[in-house]
Amino acid sequence: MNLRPAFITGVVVLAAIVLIQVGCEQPTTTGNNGSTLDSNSISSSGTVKLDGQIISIPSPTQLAILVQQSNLPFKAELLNDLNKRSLYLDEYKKSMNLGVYGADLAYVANFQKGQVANDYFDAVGKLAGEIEVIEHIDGKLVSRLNSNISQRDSVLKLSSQFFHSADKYLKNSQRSDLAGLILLGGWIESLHLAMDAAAVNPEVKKRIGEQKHACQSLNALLQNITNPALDALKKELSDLNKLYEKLESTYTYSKPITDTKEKTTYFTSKSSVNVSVDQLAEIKAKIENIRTIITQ
Amino acid sequence: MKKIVFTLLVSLFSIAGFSQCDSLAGQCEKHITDNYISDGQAYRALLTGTENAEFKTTLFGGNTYRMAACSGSSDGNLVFKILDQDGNLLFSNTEYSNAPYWDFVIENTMTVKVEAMLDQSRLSSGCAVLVIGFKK
Repeated sequence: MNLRPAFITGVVVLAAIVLIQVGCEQPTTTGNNGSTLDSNSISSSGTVKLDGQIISIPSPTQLAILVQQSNLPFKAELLNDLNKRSLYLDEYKKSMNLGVYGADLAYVANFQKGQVANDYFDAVGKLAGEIEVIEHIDGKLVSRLNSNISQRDSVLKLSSQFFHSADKYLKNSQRSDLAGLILLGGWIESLHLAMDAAAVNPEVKKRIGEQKHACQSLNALLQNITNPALDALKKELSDLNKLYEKLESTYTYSKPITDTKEKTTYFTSKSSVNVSVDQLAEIKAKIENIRTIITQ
Repeated sequence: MKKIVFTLLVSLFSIAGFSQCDSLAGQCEKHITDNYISDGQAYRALLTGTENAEFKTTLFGGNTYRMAACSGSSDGNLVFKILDQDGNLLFSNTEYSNAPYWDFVIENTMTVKVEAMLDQSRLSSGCAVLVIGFKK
């Protein structure tokens, strides 16, 4: 069947109108560092998918809050050195360390260190600018974060919104590989910061053991990115995944209870994970290896 | 020429879809109120007909989470359900008039599968957006 010129013209005009209408919101797609994500793992909406599933990784903020409850003193030496920022030249390195500094910011916020938090937010903002994300994040959000940098609750909430906006923008602009690398950097740094508390707080140790699914997801995500510069990281993360696979866990279903009036459901299933001292030490060593690759 | 028109149409709907996802995300985020912290991630998928979007996530014991689900211009267009690792149904918003958000109190850590699909009686295609927050 021949397409009539009038129809084609109509389609072109319609396309032009829609493109103009959404043009203001549509981000500019820029070239990246040469790394590519297997096209099968990007959905039509730009969301990272693996075997048809969208990736979900625990928030570094959540682990930082648990670490704070361990009543340990602030340790600046645990944080990634701010001076290293200038070493991060490629987009993949910038993205991973954007996640690292974001997790550091959550850790710092818990200790009410206003100036240090300000310095880490500055690093986050600069890296977000270098991968052309910051200009797509609501300026009011950035201003609110800047003016509330000394207030723990505000920093935790607003920085999470900041990373949510960055994630949304990167997925929208078909740069899901970078979105995934930010998650990877944040996850590794949050575990690095938690290791210290794991020695004195059984809840933190348990939480580290409960990261099996997150590790599986990030490992699968990283293996899908084609970039020789990530080969060493891939191997280490794959090794970490193997350590997690060895952890023994149990799960017993229990029927949830719902309070309709409060729009709340209580999940009452039982679960456990067993992490021996040796296993924790192995996981810690692997986390440190991965962190070194990311941050150096 | 057919190829050009086809490519143009695919690009057109793809871009329109992204734009729709963007505005929807804002609509969904309003349900993550002040006493919740975002998990920092955007979960979205363009759905048509009976397609569903799904992802696995870990819900940590001792926490309260809020999940919000949106599609289209009004609340209640998206059906979402949560299943445990053995496939047991833990929650479905269809039992609560397609509630756009719900809270979950987690006793013990569990990895769950979240599935979302359009309510066919309200919407035949669109962008599905889910956001997750946890209580401060």
